[in-house]
Amino acid sequence: MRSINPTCKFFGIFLSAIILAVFYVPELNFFVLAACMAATVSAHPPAKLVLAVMLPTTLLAVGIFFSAYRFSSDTVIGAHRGIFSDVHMLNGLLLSGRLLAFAALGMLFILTTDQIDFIRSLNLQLKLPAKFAYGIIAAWGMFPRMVREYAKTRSAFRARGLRTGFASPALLLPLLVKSVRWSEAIAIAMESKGFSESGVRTALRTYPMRSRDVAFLILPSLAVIACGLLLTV
Amino acid sequence: MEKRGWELKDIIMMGVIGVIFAALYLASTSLWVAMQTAMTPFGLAVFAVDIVYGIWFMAGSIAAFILRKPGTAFLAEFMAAVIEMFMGNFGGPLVVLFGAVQGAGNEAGFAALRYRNFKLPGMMLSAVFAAVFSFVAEIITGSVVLLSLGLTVARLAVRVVSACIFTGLIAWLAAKGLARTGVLKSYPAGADVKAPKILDD
Repeated sequence: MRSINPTCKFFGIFLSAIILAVFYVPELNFFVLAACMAATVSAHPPAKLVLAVMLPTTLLAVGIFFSAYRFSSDTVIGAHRGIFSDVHMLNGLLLSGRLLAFAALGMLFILTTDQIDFIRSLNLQLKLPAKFAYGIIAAWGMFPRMVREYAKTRSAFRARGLRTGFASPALLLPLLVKSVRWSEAIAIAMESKGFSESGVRTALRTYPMRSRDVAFLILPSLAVIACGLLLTV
Repeated sequence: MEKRGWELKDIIMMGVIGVIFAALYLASTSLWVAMQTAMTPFGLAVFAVDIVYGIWFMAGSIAAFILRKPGTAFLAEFMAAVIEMFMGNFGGPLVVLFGAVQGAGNEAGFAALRYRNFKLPGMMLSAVFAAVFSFVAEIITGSVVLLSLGLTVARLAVRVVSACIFTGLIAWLAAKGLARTGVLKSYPAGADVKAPKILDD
């Protein structure tokens, strides 16, 4: 999974999620969930990251199930058989299952893709302007600095005996001020080193589109369509 | 309304706002999970997301307030969504789609006033549009039709109120506060401030 072209992986997963949204088949959601879990686990991500994604999603799915069960409309779309003959149960499972399937698709992407590779790949494959690609990379690179600054400001308040909440304006305003200054400094630094949109640019890392990347772009969507149609009839 | 093209510093500034708000968005996702879990026994869990939803439009409105350029609200919200995905939001690629839709809503609000109002009414209108756009997207992808009509209308109302509070009022106060520090002097938002209150290291 990790070696798939990031742009192909993004759009392969994105298209599958969109197609999944048009099917009203509870089993399909759970098939997608199982397939994504298997594909994610095969890439050996840390177990705690998998839990960090799936645990809150499961809590949300249970909540949505009961909401949909209690406040279900009388609308019945798609499957209406077996345990799904009860419309409340059917709608509850559809909505909660869909959330789990969407989360599993998202997890497959985020736990198997490097963020910088993804942006560079968008730059090379989809011709995302370099200003945007490197602008986002520069901003993303400031994240650890922002975390340190936020912790420093919070400690400064604590040292003065003042308690601040997680998203207190007293913490966010200085962070915003410094971040705006850093962003200007980085832009000036990049431009003074010759960064420009118009010049010829070479890339140290390239992200070729091989046949298996193209297959990943298309096959998951086709699989969702095929499973959806099979389960609908 | 500014008509110059995108400069690198504008893009990095939107990205930086995206990073800060993506972290806030992710934290609100945890708040949503906690609230939804607490509301589950009452069958009202679906309201939890609408209560926090207004937070998720703030990046677009604040960036538009600073740059005052067509496209800023959309791009900043879109970038915040991409960065939120990087930070590990479980929505993955769909977060980017929702970010784009929300950003389009933000943008439509400012565009409806021809990019001439970046005060409270403009910020409020942008918030309301973002709430409505996001709700329409959810009707399509989240099968909201399966829930009763009364519940759906109540959810939209809660979402609009949340958007007005967070993206309308709080984002406007935050952006004004930022402008007053003098740090935005090289941006259009800084031109309105006569005597900045310097906030230095």
